[in-house]
Amino acid sequence: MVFPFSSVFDFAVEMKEEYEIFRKSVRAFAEKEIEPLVKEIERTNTIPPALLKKAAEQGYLGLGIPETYDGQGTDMMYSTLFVEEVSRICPAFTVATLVGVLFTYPVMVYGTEEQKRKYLPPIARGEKFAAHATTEPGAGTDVAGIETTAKRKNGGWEINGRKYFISGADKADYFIVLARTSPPPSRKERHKGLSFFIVERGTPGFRVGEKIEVIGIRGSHPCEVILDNVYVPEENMVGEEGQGFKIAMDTYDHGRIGVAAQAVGVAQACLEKALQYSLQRRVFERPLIYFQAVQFHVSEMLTMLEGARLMLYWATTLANKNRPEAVMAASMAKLYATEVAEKAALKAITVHGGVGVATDGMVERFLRDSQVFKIYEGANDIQKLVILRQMMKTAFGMDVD
Amino acid sequence: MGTYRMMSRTMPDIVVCVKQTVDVYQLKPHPETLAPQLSQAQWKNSDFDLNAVEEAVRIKEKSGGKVVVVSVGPEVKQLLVRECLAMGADEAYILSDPSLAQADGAATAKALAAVIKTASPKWDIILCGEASLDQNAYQTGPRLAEIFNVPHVSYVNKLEVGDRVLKAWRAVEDGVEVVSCSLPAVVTVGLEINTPRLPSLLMIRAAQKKPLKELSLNDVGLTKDDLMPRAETLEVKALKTERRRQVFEGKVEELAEKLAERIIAHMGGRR
Ligand SMILES: Cc1cc2nc3c(=O)[nH]c(=O)nc-3n(C[C@H](O)[C@H](O)[C@H](O)COP(=O)(O)OP(=O)(O)OC[C@H]3O[C@@H](n4cnc5c(N)ncnc54)[C@H](O)[C@@H]3O)c2cc1C
Repeated sequence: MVFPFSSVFDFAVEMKEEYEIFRKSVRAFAEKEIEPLVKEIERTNTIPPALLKKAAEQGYLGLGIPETYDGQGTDMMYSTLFVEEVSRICPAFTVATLVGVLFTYPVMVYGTEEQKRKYLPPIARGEKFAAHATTEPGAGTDVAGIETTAKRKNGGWEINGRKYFISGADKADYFIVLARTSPPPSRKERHKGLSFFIVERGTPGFRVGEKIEVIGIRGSHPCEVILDNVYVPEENMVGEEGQGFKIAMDTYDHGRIGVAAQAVGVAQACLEKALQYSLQRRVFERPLIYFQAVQFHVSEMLTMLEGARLMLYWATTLANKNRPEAVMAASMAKLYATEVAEKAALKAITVHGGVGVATDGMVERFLRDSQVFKIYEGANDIQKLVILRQMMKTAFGMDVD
Repeated sequence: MGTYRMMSRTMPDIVVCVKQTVDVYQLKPHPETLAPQLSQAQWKNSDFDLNAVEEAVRIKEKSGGKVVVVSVGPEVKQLLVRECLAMGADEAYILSDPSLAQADGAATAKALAAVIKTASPKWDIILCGEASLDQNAYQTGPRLAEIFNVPHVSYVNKLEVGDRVLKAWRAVEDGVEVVSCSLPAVVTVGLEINTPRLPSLLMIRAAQKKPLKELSLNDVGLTKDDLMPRAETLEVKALKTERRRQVFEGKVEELAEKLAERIIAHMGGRR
């Protein structure tokens, strides 16, 4: 009946009073502090540093980091609700949170105590920012295809290579960088021999290169990162040598829920905007909402949105419980919610007519945002592979990789 | 002993009365009947009362002491009370009883006073919003002061608490009136007094561990009869405003002047 799950209890969404208080305060923050600046963020493609400072004061940058490292010690639902509510106003603002997790998660799970003590507290307090550098001009989905190398030298490592599409690189102080530390033993084992290193901005030979303009999430633009004979000491390796691929996959499995949350926030914004406009805009002497075709658009948006939201909260609940099915659920939520965001944006544009395609109408931006959601943290077609493989693995212990 | 007395004098215990109302910003009158559609509305803490909580927390941050939140109503929602605790209040007492659905100013004040007497009898200041978001009756504060037989200062937009005294700036018709009175006293505040803070994540989590106690009519020594309203609400309707639909054309600077004149004329010539 519930295949590939084991019982109806696997479908629980678990909520607490404190989540709702938090959600409401984040909404108030987003509407009061971020919304008045959205036009400027879209125009300048940057987030004002003062805004990040305010978010840090509210404790929003320490989500998911334990209290022992100056974080807020909150569970995944907090992060989900934060990203969803802020994305309803400005998804770019949440990219700092998402890439922060792509740094802090591997350090927290695989790092040494020294690494945790050195790097987590300043990030949790919002004093330092972090980035995650895996993708390269020649390898994105195919993580094992990266060409950046790290070679042993003077008791440490010398890293050479070029990273591309690195979010938050312009602001970041700390980077977690994936490099090849030994050649793959065979073609079948390409994913072996990769390792992660922490590289601090300012290390000789390390440089943040060109900005990459992308169509969506304006306010957050990825950059190129260049590593030219960058020397890091042995203690900067995160996890064991050769464990990099596994750490990368675990990190993305964990972070993916964040993209689903961005997508749900955007779909919510599309619904609200479309509904509001259809109540205000009069055509043929009546508000738009009185026309059945418009009603269909709005009800379809609402249905898809709530479906996506339930998947998001469900995946988050499973992740909170550390359940193995959480990986599959997160992929499903990412796949579905990002496609819902795209469809909702298209419908919102349709309902708005000319205003929908006007670049200062503040509606078309959601369609652009949704395209980015569909690509980063694992393109949607890749999510389909993850879903199937995880399902086979959890249900039958079968590896169809 | 002397030190203790001084400390106790400078650290006021503040009670804040917080009403939960429908969120009027989300209220849309029914297009035909104009009756507000309460069933669709969401509940929130009345705005003025949040100013009162904020002011109480600021006093506590400056002078020490304790902030106690009291909320009464037909069905007080714990979640909203927790929001006040997240803003920095220390403990909360709530009284929910269906008979409070029809409560008028007198009944509400009676219920609040009974809770305060039971839960926090040794208070120095009671802070209230000057009115509530939904009914705007301006009654609760003055009535509480009458019940406790203490001074009452209303429409306060700036407040200083000293040694057994307070000094308050009141927004009155033609300016600001500065008054002072001894403690204990009841103070009602308006929206201008401060901007209520957004609770930080840390405060939200801390609020989960703060005491929040539900009391019954019996616990506070009241019966349903005590809360019978003296007046009855027959009907509630929204005002229908007709727009004037006047169009002015010309240069912006001149238009502003013209528009101002028109507004002044409409208000009976008073500037
Ligand atoms: C705005 C933005 C921010 C980013 N931020 C970061 C960052 O901070 N750090 C970082 O490391 N990376 C970052 N990325 C990179 C991102 O993770 C990659 O773009 C993504 O993983 C896809 O890789 P790719 O672009 O190389 O596409 P490719 O891997 O070249 O894929 C191209 C297309 O082929 C499909 N495809 C690939 N392999 C298969 C397959 N096996 N089966 C079926 N279809 C396949 C893909 O679905 C995709 O549609 C960012 C990207 C963007 C757009």
